[in-house]
Amino acid sequence: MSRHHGQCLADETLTEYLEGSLDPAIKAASEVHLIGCDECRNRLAFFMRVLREDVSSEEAAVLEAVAAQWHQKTGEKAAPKGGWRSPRSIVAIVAVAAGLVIGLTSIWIVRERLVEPKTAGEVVQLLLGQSRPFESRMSGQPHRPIVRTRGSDDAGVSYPLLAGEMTRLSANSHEMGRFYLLQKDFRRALPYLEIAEREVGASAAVHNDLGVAYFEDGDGSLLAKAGEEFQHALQHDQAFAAAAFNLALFYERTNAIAQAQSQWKRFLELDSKSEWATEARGRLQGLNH
Amino acid sequence: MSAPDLVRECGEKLTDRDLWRHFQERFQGLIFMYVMRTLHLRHIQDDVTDVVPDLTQDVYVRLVQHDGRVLRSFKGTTEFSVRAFLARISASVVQDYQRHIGSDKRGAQVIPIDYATAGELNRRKPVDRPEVDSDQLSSILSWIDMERVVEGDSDRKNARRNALIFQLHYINGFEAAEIARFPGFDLSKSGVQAILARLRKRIQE
Repeated sequence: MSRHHGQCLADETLTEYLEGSLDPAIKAASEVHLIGCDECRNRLAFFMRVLREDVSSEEAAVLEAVAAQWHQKTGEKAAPKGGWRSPRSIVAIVAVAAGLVIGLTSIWIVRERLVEPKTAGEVVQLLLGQSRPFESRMSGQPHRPIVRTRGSDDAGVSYPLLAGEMTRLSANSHEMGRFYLLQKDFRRALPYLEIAEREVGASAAVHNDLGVAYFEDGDGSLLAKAGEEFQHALQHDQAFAAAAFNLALFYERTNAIAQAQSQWKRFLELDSKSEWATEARGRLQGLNH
Repeated sequence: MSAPDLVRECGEKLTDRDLWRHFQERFQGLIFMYVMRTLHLRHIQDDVTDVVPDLTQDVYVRLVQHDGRVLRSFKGTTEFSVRAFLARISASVVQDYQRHIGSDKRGAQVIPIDYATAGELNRRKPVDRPEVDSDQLSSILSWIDMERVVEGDSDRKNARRNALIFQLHYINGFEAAEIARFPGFDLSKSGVQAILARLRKRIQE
């Protein structure tokens, strides 16, 4: 049971206690507290368990699977199999696993290829130019054939570390949302885009991209919200071609065929020459048959 | 380069390719492990294979965001301090994840006491607690006044540390060797065992 024991200890104090680096007076005060506070002692125990050096066979198996998963996501070759019995071997194996390096390579690719992007928006734009993750169209997205895999499977691109680069470049909510959206990481993309949408003066592009996230999420309950966001985007800017394109897709998916046909025609009035227009004509023809 | 220096250098040079490759080679495995263990200890989900890479990504973001503020705040000087630093960041990221998925009912980073006691004590048969039934002593410890244990300890200088070790052993389920591995306790395995034996005897009296 906990008794009166004063202010609880910060995580940093707990780990410094384990390290033995606390000032003697603080160490003594921490011990007084830890004896009386079950919660802090349990947190101390938590860090003792997290930081322990031995690795169980179960943990080793999970770590191996995790490393494989990481490689898959980063498009890197799997690390060689080996024993995970000691911390040293873990570090070594995962180090090799450190296809991780690709992460940095990706930053390097983005930073050195063509013109080095100077803003988070340019990073997203560069990534969007490489592949098309889904049918619907993000704001400012150049036309590409649809790729049926996760964006993060793209060889040579490590999104995990590019996320760090995005932050370093002070990406705003919309840009972070777009960054995760193009990876189909809807869990991360949606909160960012919803924040951006609530900001005063949210643009047609923000509404469109939030609509794309709802549309592609795979959660049927979000589909109606996707249609609303595309409409909002068009209310902001009637000539916003991406939203016009997406609204037509929305009608198709909801089996509103007549509306879809009419929306494709509206889109083609806005854009009759691009590759998006070619795709739209194909879809319209498909609906007419 | 030492581990603490490497962390500090990365904080200063957020886009230095070679430096960050070095960082990954040395610490990526540890981050995987700390995230995985935190997920397990907090009972968030059993199959963590999918989520650990994503949360590891969040650890990297946490390290570099705001122009590397977290990295630059690191003041440690030892290998252990780096591991502890990464463990804290990993735990914090997992805690945020737990909040996000809505399973954080208590909002605090606490290991359920049943996990600490039943989970650990029942599974293990430690060799260094022979005279007293562990469950019996654990229940005694739930109402015993630890201040009296402290006051009664002949090792006045380290009485509180010793009482804490006693609790870590009997309530939280750590064996003497596990406790002795942490430099903060400044004891060998046999030193921890001696303390446990002495305090156990006092409580029995």
